[in-house]
Amino acid sequence: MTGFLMRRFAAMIALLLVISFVTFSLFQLGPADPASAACGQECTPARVAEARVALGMDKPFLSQYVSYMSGLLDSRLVGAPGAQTVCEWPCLGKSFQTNEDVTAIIERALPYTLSVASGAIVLWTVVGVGLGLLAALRKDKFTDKLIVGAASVGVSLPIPVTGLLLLLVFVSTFDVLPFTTNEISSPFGEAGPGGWFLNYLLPWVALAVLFSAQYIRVTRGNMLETFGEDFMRTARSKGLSRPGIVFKHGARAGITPVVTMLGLDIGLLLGGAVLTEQIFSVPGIGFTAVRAAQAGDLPVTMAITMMAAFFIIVANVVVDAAYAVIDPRVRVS
Amino acid sequence: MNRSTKAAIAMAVSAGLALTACGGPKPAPGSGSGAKADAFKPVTIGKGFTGKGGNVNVLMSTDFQTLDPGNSNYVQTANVGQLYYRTLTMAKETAGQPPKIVPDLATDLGKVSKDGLTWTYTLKKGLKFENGKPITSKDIKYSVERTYARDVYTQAPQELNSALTDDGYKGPYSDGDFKGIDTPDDRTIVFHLKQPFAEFPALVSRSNTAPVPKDKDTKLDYTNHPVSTGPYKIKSYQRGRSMKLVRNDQWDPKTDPNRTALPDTFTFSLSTAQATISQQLLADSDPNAITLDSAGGLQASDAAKLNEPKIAKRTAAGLLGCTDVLGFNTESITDPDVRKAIALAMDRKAMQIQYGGNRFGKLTQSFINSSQRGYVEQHTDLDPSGKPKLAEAKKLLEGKKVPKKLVYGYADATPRYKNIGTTLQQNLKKIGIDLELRPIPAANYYTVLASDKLPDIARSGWCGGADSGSVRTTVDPNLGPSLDGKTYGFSNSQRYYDKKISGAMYKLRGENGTSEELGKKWATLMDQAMQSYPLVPLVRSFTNSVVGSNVRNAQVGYFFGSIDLSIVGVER
Amino acid sequence: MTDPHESPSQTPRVSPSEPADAQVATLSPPPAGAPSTGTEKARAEKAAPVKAAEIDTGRSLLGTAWLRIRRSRIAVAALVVVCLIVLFAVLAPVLTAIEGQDPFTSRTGGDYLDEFYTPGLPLEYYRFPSTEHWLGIEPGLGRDIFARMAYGARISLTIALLSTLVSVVLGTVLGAAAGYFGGKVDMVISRIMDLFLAFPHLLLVLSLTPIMQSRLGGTALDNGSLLPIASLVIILGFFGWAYLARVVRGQVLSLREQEFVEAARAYGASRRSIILRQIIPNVMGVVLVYATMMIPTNITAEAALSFLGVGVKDPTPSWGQMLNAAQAGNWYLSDPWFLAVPAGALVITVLAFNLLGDAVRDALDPKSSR
Repeated sequence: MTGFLMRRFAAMIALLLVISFVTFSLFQLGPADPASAACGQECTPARVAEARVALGMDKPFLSQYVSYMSGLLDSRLVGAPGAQTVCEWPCLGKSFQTNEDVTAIIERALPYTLSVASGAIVLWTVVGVGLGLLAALRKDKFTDKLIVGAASVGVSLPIPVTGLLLLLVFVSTFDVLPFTTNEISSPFGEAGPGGWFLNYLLPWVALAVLFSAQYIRVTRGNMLETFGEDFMRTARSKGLSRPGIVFKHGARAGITPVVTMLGLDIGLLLGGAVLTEQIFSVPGIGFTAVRAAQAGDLPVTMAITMMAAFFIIVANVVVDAAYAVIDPRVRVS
Repeated sequence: MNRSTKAAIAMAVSAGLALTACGGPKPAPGSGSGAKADAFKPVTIGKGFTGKGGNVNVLMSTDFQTLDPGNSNYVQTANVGQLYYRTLTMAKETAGQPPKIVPDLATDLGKVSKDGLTWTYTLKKGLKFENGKPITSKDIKYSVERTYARDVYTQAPQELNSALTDDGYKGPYSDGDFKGIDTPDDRTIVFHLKQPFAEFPALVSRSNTAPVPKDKDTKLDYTNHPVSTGPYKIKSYQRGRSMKLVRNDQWDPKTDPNRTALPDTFTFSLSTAQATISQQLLADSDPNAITLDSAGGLQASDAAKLNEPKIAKRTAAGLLGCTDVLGFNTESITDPDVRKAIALAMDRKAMQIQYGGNRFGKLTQSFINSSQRGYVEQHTDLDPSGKPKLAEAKKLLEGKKVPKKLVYGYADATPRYKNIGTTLQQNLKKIGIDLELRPIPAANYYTVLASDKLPDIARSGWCGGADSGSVRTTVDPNLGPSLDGKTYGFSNSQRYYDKKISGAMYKLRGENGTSEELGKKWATLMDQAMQSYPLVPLVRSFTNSVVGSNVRNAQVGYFFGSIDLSIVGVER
Repeated sequence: MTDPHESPSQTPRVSPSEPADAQVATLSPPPAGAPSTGTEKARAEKAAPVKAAEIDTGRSLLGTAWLRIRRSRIAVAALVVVCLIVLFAVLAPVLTAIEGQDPFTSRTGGDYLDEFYTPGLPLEYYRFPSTEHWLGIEPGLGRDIFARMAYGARISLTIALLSTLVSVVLGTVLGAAAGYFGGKVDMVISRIMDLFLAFPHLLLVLSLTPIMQSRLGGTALDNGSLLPIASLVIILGFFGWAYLARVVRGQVLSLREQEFVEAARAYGASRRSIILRQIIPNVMGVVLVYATMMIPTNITAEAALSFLGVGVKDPTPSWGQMLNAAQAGNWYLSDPWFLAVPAGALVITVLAFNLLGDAVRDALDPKSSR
């Protein structure tokens, strides 16, 4: 196991390096020139050149990349020669737009993304696994057909459609829920858990509609598969009660792939729920990423891409490791 | 305000992809009317209020790009800056009128030498930084020096700098002492100019002259805690979240007749979703709230709500100095008659609708307006109600070489600018011209206009330039010649150059006189230039800003485009 | 289908640096979702045993599948709807000609749009369906919504189908090559797959699309340029192949060791004939399942990107672009119909494709109950 984790860790670092390099290179090809964006108005060529110096973009590509990445190892100096400021470790650079430490920007955005992600994950897991189990137990009955039908529709509802509909109905037309405010980023703040809950309810629902549907399908499918397996048959033949079989034996084997899926989804969502955050104006990671991409803010784009990749990769490693622990049938090599 | 300010605002707003989700009954279409004769009259809420105390809650959808006066071209920063920094002179806002230049740190508007090349200012007595240290002329000189370090401060305001004799000065960090400014004693400061500049008192109202103490200059980090010289100081500032301003006890109201400083505190809620802002303001959920967002944080679809009496009585309004035009590339569409025909074929009314109609902008016939010094009447054959004059346009084109296809370029972040192109596309089809719509990355929009990729037709905006009360600072940058007078100027995206008219403008630049006298000459040249239709005026911004029910003295600044923070107060 | 709504391309739900041979073990008897999983995986597992069934019965794989599909009412209904939608898209010019409208003409005068109360909102007659404008006109620009919806269908479907094709071709070829040749070829291809799977796709696509569009040319279709569509096809296609490649590789890897392939080899069949006659037909099942699943994913991906403002841009219509327009300026609040049209079209289409995908999967799955 240790060897496995070590190898995965090394591979992870290598992969992150490649991803950071690709992102950095792609950025250089982009149509937007951050230097001429920086001075806007009467942006004479001389002024653009000065802005290039200010942003550190006057140096060759490779040295820009190396100096950016060096911030991950130690604090570094940023800015024009003669007027540099310190960027503390871990330095992800300073925003081209506001000169703010990117680390600080991410620290600020993360609680919003965590708020969106945590509630949505709980909601869709409970609903998805619950209904999936129910459907499996009532296979081919009306309940099953209803749930499976609902899941088919749910899985076909794109977030922009669900999100805008929710806003139209619950916020605009009936005015029963508030529009999300950025003043609430955790259940422990002034607004309390209740305020936090109401504030994020719509984004959660928008995500959960889609994801629950997927969890229903996978849970149902896996449960049915497990029911058909030998050990279940054995258990049944031994005269164990039905709920006992389901929860002692079936659930454990049947739920395992759901846990795996969940781990990967968490990793994915921590990189920012871009569409949901955009629609509900939640200033989380995804929202910040879209703004940075539009404004050509390289340091912010870089940091968020790497962070999102990091979460995805870590989630994969964790899931593999966890899988080996939960399900003895799988052995990691 | 110059183009970058405008561009910067446009970016800030569009980048939000903001949503408004305020409820309310659906309007019966056609009923009611926003287009009364006095529709554009300025409205100030609670004028003359003098009650002190309380807190004003300022809602904003984005954080300030910067609070460093030496690195700011942004109107929001200039507005909030009135609270924590003072400048030699000050541009004092009046709704619907260009700001009036009044003395601030200086005792008067400056003494100019006979040749117009030297301006001398004397500081008032008893001026102090928030830490109690006296403000000297050297502090002001240092602040101006900083703004020459453009390789550090990409947004450093340059209007003042380009008027001074600078000899390629690169700022205090690399070049040391600046020769363009003398400080014979602690209260006197002398500026040396390249050419006479009648509007110089307006140039020293820019934030370059806001004192920055040298020992507190943390360069790019200065924005995190600028040292106050105004009535308030920063108590806390969490970037992207909130800021709190409290009274600065070192500020002496006797030295400052311009700021009423009524509330005890200001709190800024930064990066609140734009939707929340308009929802809260329309619903009056916080009676002390105002916003600094452009267009009062409102969307076109909110227009109907502004007619509801409960909301109307809380809506401050005013015309701004910002005008949008469609400019022709006069190098590619060379025939003035063709340009005029295109101008006449335009449905400017439909374009105004893209801005949100009368609640957001007034159709205009000129880049300059009658509230500016030295304005003389401008002539154009455009229909004042914005309707196209197709017959006249077609007649003008008879027997002419008409281009088959033209390109319209627009900043891609703002749907409105693309929609204007779509409207224009329809209009031009009727006179047999195909229009291609070409998106330009918003961040580089003006750089592209200045390059060889300038499209045939492009929108641009101007908010009055260095002195929004002056005609010159609009005409010269937009239609004037280059520095050597031999070709068109850098930000003249029409590439307008007429030997006679541009030559006269070049000569006028060096002339000595009052702003009013010179303004008349500029306005006359502008009128002459406009007869060849280098550009088509579209819409002058009109801003409605809803405020909380306790807010008093709320006026929409002509320059700021939002509630003027220097006089606002709250009823308690 | 993964969660196309959050990430426009296929979501990376796979361990990026999984040891090359772990795949073989996980693919054979399905212990339900080995290290890599997710919905796609779950479906893949169900699809995996296809080969066995096909070999046993001797009947053609696709023939069996077709029989099964025809027996399911839902599947037939989904197929009919899909055909109707495709037909609708193909006939867009005819239909709009019957309506007498086109997707680009704007109507901005006071005869069409409110100029006073809510400037830009279509007058009531034009806001809702009428014989003149079957689905009303847009706020702001007054273009015909039906015509934009119909032409939007063409563009949304073209992008989805072509990008799926790109992914399927790339995924099958690279996956099969990795699985069949093994060794260094496998190593290189597998590492590339890992990279693609670990990339936060949406973020990358957000910054990549403007680059592609600026390199390839404009974003508008009204002047006949197909380049903006091409750039989306390339991007979506390019980011969708890796997962399929992985599955195909696993399939091929296990097929290679199967008795019937060994037998063919023993009879002296050429490598070419083994690939063409044994391997490819046996992989077709899983590829078909994936392809049907990928289409709705790509439809939503296009919608998501255009909604965020980086995909298809006005004046070119697509369903995502129409959603974007409905949200811009909050028009959907005062004119909900404007939102309902593209939203409805999108949901019905995605649903139909999804149901069809399910049917195809079930049809190819011998364990399926139906």
